[in-house]
Amino acid sequence: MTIAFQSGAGERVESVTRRADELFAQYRRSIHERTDRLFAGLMAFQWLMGIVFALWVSPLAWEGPVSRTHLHVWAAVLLGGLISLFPALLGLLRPGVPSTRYIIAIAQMLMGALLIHLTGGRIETHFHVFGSLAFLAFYRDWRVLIPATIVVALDHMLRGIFWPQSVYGVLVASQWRWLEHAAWVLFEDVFLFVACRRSIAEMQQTADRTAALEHEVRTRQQAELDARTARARNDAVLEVALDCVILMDEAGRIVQFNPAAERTFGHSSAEAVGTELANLIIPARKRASYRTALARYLMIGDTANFNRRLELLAVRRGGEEFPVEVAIAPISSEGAPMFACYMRDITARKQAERELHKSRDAERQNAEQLAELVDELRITQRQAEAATRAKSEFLASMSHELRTPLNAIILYSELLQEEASDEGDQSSIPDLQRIRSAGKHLLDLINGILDLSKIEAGKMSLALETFDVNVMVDELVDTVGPLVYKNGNTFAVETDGAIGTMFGDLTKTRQVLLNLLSNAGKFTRDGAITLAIRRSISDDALPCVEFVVTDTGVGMTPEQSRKVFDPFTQADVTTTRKYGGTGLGLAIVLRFCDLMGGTVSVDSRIGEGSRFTVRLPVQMVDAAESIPAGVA
Amino acid sequence: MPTILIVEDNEPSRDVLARRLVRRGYGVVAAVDGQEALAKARSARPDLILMDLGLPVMDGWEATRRLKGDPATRHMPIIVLSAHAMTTDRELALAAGGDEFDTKPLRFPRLLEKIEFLLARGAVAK
Repeated sequence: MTIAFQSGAGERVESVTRRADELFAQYRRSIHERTDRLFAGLMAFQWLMGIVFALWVSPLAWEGPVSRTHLHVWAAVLLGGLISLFPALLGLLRPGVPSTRYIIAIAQMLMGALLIHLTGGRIETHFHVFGSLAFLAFYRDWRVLIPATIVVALDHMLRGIFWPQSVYGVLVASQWRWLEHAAWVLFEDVFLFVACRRSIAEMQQTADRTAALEHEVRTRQQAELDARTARARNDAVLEVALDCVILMDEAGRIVQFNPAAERTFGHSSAEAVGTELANLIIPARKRASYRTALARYLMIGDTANFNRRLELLAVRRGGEEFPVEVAIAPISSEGAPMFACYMRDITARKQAERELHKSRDAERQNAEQLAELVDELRITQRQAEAATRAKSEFLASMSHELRTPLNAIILYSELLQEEASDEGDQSSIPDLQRIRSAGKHLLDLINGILDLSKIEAGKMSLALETFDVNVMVDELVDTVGPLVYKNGNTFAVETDGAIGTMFGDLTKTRQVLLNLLSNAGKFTRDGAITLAIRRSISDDALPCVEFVVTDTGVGMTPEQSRKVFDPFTQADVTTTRKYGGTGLGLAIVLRFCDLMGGTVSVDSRIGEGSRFTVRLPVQMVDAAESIPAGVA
Repeated sequence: MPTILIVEDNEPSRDVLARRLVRRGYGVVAAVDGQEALAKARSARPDLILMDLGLPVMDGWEATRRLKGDPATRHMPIIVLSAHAMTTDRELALAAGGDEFDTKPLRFPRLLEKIEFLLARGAVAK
């Protein structure tokens, strides 16, 4: 502030001086113009008065008894007009111009000279000269006195020498008398000069003062305007502010209460202003601490609770409490300290925060539950794996333990059959056959279970070798013959010429076909069984060999077809009893095909028969061996 | 007729196998563990040995290896019998020096084929 004032000072003085000069010039010009116009009137008046004087004082004076219009009347009319007209016109048409007042000054003095002459040099008429000078002083321009004085002096000197009667009213006069007249004129000039100077000085002072005053007024007006604008702007800001803005005095009484505050707290500005803030919007139990904080600031300037955001409880009209965010700031203003209190209703935000908190908690809980679940799953999986391993080991050892007694049972039943046959005891042979058959069935079951458990335990690997498909099929037909022909079935092998060789697991390939063909034989009575073999392309576009086993047996429903590869789920629970078999044959087929990188599918109609299609790659890869090779 | 040494710890299995072979006209000597098998092989000088794997005192693999390592017994063909149908058993048995392998329960006709084949091969070799 101070700095701004200093830097503005020079400018201010300059502008005021300029304004003062302007005012001074204006005053002077106005005086000049006014005086010019005054003289224009005065000229006319003097002219008239000159004529009146000429008529009244000396109309007949110069010719004795002859009474007629004297020459002087005409002189007054003509000369007076001649002298007055031009300056009067100048005074009216060109007022204020310096030449106008000089000409007027000369004309005025000439007019005086004329009047003196017309009045026959009457000494009284000389006062006109002093009056005229005083009038000229109206110009406040002492310079006009110079030509005026010169005219008077010259007039008196010339006429005093050559025509004393005209100027002094006497026929003979001292030729130095004009000097005395001129000295009196100069005497007056001195006073008028001083008066003019003083007047000019006063005029200058007035101009200065006026300019200063104007400046002062203007400054004040500007300041007031600024203040009003600032207030209006502040009011507008408070008016549209989204936050509550409340101004308080040092006693905590509300001075201003903006519309946002009105909306938030439910009190009108008119109600609020003058009330103590604490009483209006702070819950009763919190008022004491609020007042303490305010008092502490006022007393020791403790600003711990000022100029920072606080979260407090406020109360609405009607008593509803709600959370607000508050910032209280002392306002530095002249006079008593004031406070601005900014408040924002944060009910919604608090609500959102709570929701967020809740949802975060829920999320965390979910994550924890998920982690627990994953742990449980992992444990379960480990347990399941351990259980599978244990089961496989159990099955393997069980199979071993079962085989030994089974070995004895089968061999003994065969032995007894042989002995009975030798001794001709036919009666016990069927029973011994049943014992042997049951033992064989049990053995098949054990073998099947062992195979499945080995596959599931991942212990089944491929024994890859190159073999001729046609040779394999020929051998197979020899083995499987009794199984397919037994129910009065026909059996045909259809090959597309020489299939060539495969690089694969011969034993498992044979096992698959054996299982399928023995199955077909089992479920077909007086029907036809075919094994078709051809080269094909797998779904993965790899060359493969396709084996299709078709029968005209009992067939299956779609429901049965779907489950046919599951272990121990023969098409019907009665099936095992009726047709025999372990219920593991097709389960083993599916797993062997998977293991060999092939596929098996079934197409069956109840009462019409079934068709099993096996596709095995021509070039098999042992998955168990290829994986480490791939990694390396 | 050729003599066959049966090495088997399970009494019924040993008995039934012995009786069935006797019915086929073979001479039979029996041992219940690997240790006894080595002794019987030296003393009885069998033409062929049926060797079970899971034996007390000395198991079948060890006995097979010893028999095949002994010049006095190495010419005797050995058929290894296992109740474990694992391929590894078969490979281990053959690696130990067994000439053939069969799984239990035995299919007697098949076993007879193998016995006859090995004896015929031995006869040719002699």
